[in-house]
Amino acid sequence: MSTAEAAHGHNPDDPIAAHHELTQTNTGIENKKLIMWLFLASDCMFFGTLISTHLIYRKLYPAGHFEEGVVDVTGTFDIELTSFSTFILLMSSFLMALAVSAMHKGQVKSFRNNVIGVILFGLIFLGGQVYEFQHFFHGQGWYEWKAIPRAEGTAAHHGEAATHGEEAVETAAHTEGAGAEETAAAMTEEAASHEGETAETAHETTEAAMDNAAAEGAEAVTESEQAAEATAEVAGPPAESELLVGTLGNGKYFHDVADTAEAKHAFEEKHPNWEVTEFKQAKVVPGLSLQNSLFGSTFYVLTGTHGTHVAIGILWLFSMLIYSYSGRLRAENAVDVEIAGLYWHFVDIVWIIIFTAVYLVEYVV
Amino acid sequence: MSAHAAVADKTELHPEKSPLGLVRPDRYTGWRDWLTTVDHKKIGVMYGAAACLFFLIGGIEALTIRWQLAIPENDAISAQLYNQLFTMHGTTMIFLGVMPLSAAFFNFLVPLQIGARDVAFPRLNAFSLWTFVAGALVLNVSWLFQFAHMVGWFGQDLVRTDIAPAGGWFGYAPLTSDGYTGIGTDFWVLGLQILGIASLAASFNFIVTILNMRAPGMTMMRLPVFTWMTLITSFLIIFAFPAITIALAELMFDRFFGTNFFRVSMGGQPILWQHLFWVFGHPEVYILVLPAMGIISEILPTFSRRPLFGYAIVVFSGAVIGFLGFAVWSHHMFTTGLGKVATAAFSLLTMAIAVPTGVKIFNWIGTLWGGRIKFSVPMVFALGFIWMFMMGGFSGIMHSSAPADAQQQDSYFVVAHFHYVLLGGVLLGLMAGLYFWVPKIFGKQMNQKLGYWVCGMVVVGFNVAFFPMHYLGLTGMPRRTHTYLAGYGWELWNHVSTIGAFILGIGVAICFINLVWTVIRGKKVEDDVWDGRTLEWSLPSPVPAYNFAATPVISARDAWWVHKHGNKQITYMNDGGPEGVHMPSQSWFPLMCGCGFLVFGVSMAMMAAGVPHAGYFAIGGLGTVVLGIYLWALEGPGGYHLKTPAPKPSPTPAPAPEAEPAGHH
Repeated sequence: MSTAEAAHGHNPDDPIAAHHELTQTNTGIENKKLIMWLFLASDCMFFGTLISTHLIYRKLYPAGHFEEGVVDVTGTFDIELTSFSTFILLMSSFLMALAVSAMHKGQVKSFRNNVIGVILFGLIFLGGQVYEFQHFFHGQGWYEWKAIPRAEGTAAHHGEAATHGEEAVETAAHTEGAGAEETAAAMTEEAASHEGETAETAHETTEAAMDNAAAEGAEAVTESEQAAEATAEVAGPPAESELLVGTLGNGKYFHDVADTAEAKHAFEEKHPNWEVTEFKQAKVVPGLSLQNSLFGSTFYVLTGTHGTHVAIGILWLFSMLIYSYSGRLRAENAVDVEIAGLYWHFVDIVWIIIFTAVYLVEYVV
Repeated sequence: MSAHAAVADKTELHPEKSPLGLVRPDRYTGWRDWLTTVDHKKIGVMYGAAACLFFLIGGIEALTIRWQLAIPENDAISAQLYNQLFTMHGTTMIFLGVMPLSAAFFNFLVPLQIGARDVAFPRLNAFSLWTFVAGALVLNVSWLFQFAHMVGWFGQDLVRTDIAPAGGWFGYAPLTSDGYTGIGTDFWVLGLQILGIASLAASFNFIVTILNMRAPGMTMMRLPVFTWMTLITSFLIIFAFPAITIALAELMFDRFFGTNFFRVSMGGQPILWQHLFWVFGHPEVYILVLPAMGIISEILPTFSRRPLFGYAIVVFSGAVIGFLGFAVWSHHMFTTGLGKVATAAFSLLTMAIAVPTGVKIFNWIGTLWGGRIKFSVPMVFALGFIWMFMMGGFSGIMHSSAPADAQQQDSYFVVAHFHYVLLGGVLLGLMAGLYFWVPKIFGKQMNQKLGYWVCGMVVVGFNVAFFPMHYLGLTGMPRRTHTYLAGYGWELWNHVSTIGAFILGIGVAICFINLVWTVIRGKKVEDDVWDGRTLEWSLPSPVPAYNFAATPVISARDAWWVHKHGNKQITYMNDGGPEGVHMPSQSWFPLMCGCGFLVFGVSMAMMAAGVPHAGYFAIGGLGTVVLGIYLWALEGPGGYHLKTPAPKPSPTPAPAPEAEPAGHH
């Protein structure tokens, strides 16, 4: 409703507008601005009801559900990411204020630049929310695995492997020292790339693997070259076949889905030449869905409603941006931009409340 | 309403174009004029017509209920149909009867009473009307499906046969969960949400209109009391409706997407529904009753020929009622075990709300005191309102005492109480308003002799129907019971109650028939038929399209009365240019949005029923709404000029603004 209503708006031909411009409307506030304030007052109640619902159930079920173990709230949240997108949304409000100010001065070009910024920041926020929802939904897990190399051409290494295998460190035997580092890193990089929490574990595992590989590197060179050649024909790309050289492996595997069978499957897909002998979950953050818990229901509906508000705001500003190219958006229409700005700031403020009441308080012990 | 043509002329004759190759119709295009009008008076008339229709439907539902209860162990209708009838009776009367009839008066009167030419956002006003119609249809279409099933159109394959809503008008969880009710609840949820959008949009519009569009000199404390009550009611709506809209959205998510808000097996709390519903539901009572109080506050001074006694106190007590209305909701839930502190607090606050209500009643009596009372039809209805509403208020105070309420909860005593408030109060008030303002709306007078008969039948029938319910309730008859056994001593009074209900029904039916007859064939009356007090009576009947040929400048409360009988004259500033008064153009797009909502609502219910591809229609419906809003924004307000006759009463010549051709935005 960018150019919405206001039959008695800013049309200089309009005698009623002329009259009301003389009298500045009874309150001195333009009709469009007043109705936007009223809408926002009402919208406060919408969000108030949703936030109350969330907090009431949060208090009633400290575990997020009437049963323990269904929801892991702080495990699910990715507070760094959400803090970042909160910051971005705040900054978008700054740009919005600049856009409104530019429009009041009739600087359409500056208005466009700032509004493009607001739209981009809004999209980043929404993108963050989509990413977040996706990950919350799937949950995540850390799995302990043990595996032995698969089939032909590797039997010769069994004896050698026994010495290392018992020490329960990852054996990622390699043709070259450098290669060993790479592969060891590759084995654990999933863990490192995802969660700050898991970075430590990942780091440890990587170090252990590299030590091991370096020690073994020299011996392994000749044999593994042959082995690699032998299996490359059978098992596909050489990169994967390198793993075959190892004898017995174990370690931790991170997967961004909280489902053991699925994680195991993904692990096997990634390392087709290893035969998994043991695969169990070390720590798991269960997936959060609309249906599986009350926390899921209230969280998604509340934050989803806010996301919808942001999306409508983006659509509105985008429409206004396009409209500005028609040349009909001038300083006299600044109130049209201003009410979109009011809406945008409001959505921003509501997010600060949601971020505090839904995310941050979870970390207060 | 072709009479408008006699006083107004369109000076710009070429039709205006709007997107989609549509032409913006003007006021001489017959039915297309009505579909696209942005004139608050026509919108008001359409609200009123819809309200009367739904009053009849709700009334038929009520009479069927009474028919079933007339004798013990009656099996005239099935228990399931009975559930549907009381659910739809309550929903229809509140959301489709009383609220739109109030909205009809808001629409017609507010701009006239404040000296404005229209509401602040004329197309948004049309949007509210068509969205309301869509929501009303979504609710009632469920009956058509139900009847189609009853005559066997759907065969015997339906899993669930309860197609009309059956969860009660306050839809308590978990009755409304998918395990207990069928798609009727989906119709109900979607219909009410769409109606909520309509009410919110209308309320935003009225608040802006009243705050911003008052004529010069029309200060807040010179506003007619009806306009004041409109303002307070609108504020109640914008703060109360979000609670139920969110509660309904949560329920919708439970039903459509498997969330757990009210799903007991997953830890959902039915009590949360009760809180969210009554946080809306109690202010809703005042949303229903404050407009009627506003009407009464206009009629009593007119026929007592005295100013309203204690104007400022009446206005202030209205605001206090509105404010306290948000703090008493839990008195609907005393028996749920709120705890001693909460129960005591809500009990006290509920008693406190009787104070501003009592203040109003004493002020009305003060207005009558020493007045030269004329017992015209509207006045008789208004006096009936005071009496009946007071009785509803008294039984309300009985409920405010939690121990007494524990006895009365869910009994016919409660049914008696809220019908005294809503029927004895609100309906009598609205009918008073109808008899009072129909001459202004249509320029024709309803049959006055018949009016006294209608009033008599309504008041007598109403008391015969509902007074025995106090007794029935106190002797233990539960509300919402499909039937009852003989031998509890309920037979006689149920029978009497049914007879009273039919007397009442016939009275209301006569009124509506007379109304239709009046609109078609009624006799013309003079403009100021009651010797009125407020600005609308200074205008010709029916009111011309532009309302005021020149903007009035107000210098007193009851400006028109003082103008006629006092020493302060209304002056007029001639603000129309030489080409006449600027009018906003009509638009197709509010109607388009309404159609979109209708398709959306019905398709969602069909989706719940498992009809293939219904989901695409639902998306299409919402898409239509969004498209409608875009086209509406792009088309701009437009405008044309209407020539006005020279202003009649004491025109003050003012320099005309510079003449320029009417242009688009």
